[in-house]
Amino acid sequence: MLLRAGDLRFGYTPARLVIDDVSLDLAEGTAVGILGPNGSGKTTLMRLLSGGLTPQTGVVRLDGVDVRSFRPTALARRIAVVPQETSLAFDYTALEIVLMGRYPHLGAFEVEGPHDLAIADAALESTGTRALAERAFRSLSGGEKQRVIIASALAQTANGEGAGLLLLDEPTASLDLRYQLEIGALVTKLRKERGITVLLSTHDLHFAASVCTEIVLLAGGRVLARGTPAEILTPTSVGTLYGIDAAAAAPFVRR
Amino acid sequence: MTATPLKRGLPVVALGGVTLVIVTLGAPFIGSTGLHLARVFTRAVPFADNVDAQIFFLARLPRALAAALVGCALSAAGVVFQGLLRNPLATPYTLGVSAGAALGAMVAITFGAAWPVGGVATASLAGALLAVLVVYALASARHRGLSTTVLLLAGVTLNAFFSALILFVQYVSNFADTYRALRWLMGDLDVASYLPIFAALPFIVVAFVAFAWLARPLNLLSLGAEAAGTRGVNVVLVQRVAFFSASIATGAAVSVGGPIGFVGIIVPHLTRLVVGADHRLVLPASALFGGAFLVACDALARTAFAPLELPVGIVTALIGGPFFLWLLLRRR
Repeated sequence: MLLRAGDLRFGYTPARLVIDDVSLDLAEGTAVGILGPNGSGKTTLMRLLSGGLTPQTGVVRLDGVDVRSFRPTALARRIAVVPQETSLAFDYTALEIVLMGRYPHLGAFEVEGPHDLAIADAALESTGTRALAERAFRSLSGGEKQRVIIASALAQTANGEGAGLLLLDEPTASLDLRYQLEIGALVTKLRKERGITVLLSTHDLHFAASVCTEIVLLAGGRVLARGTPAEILTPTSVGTLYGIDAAAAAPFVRR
Repeated sequence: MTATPLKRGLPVVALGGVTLVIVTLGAPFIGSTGLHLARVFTRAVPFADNVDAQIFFLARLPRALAAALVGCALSAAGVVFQGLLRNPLATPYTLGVSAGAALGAMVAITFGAAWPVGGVATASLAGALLAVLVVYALASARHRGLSTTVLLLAGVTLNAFFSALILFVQYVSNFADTYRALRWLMGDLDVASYLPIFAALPFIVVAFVAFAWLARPLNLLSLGAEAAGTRGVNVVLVQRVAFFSASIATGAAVSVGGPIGFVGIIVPHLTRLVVGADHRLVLPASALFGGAFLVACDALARTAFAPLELPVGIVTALIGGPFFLWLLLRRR
């Protein structure tokens, strides 16, 4: 098991737990989708799994080792996070953004060498963004930005000490249909060709069904159900998850 | 792709270094009294009788060196504050460092008549450090890291509060002291000796060592604090080092030349237009061009209305004000 999280509990205030007794395993090479209503704790769970937040109880283990015992750079070489949106303070080019992924691989005063440039080039290549390398990141469209950030995440976990894990927080939010399909195809390609393990959160049931090998339903900080998309994405369970009638949920579930 | 974007920008940094050296050594030859290169460096006349050499080494060179040092420090500190606050409109003075320094200087000018030489500079540095500690305490009180929003609010509030205290000190002081205080606030590099430069240098050197380490993490901080954290950056440490080092460089620079405005925003911005956003290029290039820019501004201030010598702060503000407006309009 690549990542194993057990009995996680977390709340931003002591009064309210946002994540309440969640356990989750990620096998290498799988794509796991977290579905849940707004406020169900998806983003918080992602932060706990990436080491960005420390759970109040429970442990997250990467290859059997508590993520808290990793140095920040060592953890970053294994787990990369793609946020929902990236807004930059300054005008970096797409290539510079991808090269930033090499941060945890370099010493304090070390600069990127030909090896890092080759890795960045490969990451641009596999996300189909090579032509954008010299463009200003801020001038790119939403879908292009998302792919460049994914390229940066790939450069971050490339040549790590073990299999890479990619966490994508609502990767298709605010993207039109074409970019949704592109991101979906990219995730599947990375998983199959580069053996990258993916955990993503989404509100898009069709996207989850087409991309994920496993689905986790999260409600009120607890795991409601988990299984293959075919098992889990039924009108009944989706209706229960979002608190709507099964009949109302039916059109959103692919049969 | 053969070269990293970083390597492609290095010639600009080198050009900045050459420009700074040429401008700093050339500026002393400009002035109301003309100097001849041969006479300045001649060994035929003893130094005590060599007027050209005395003007060069005792009056104008310290001033040019002070301008270079202050310009370097303010420009680089501006870059670091802009990176820390993720805002290209931040200045070295945004977080209240200059207001603290000004208050310290006002107190020394008004109440420190008996204080030894350098009392004003020392008091301004102490005032700057006081402001830094107050802002830091406020911004870190309720957060594990530094909240940039609270930093900004605390800085703006402190600027206003210290300004009120400065006005109070002005009100209770006599006419001559008020005039001196006003001259200090205009920003003036008429240092008259090498002493202020040597006093400020250690602070600025320490800050620049920190800047060298900060350059790469500041790049990642541009993505946002959380995103930088997931890429292995120790965000809390980077924010603290950035805040303190940039504040110390600013405080030291202000203790030499007063709160000279606009250098810390014009130079970083123009530098970014040339070398891009990578802090490993922006920081050294801004420092070098910033030094050269201030030396040139000071030479202009000394000569534009000769024999009247303008405080350099007026020149940088006259150039910087319209530039700042242009910058705001350009950003839509």
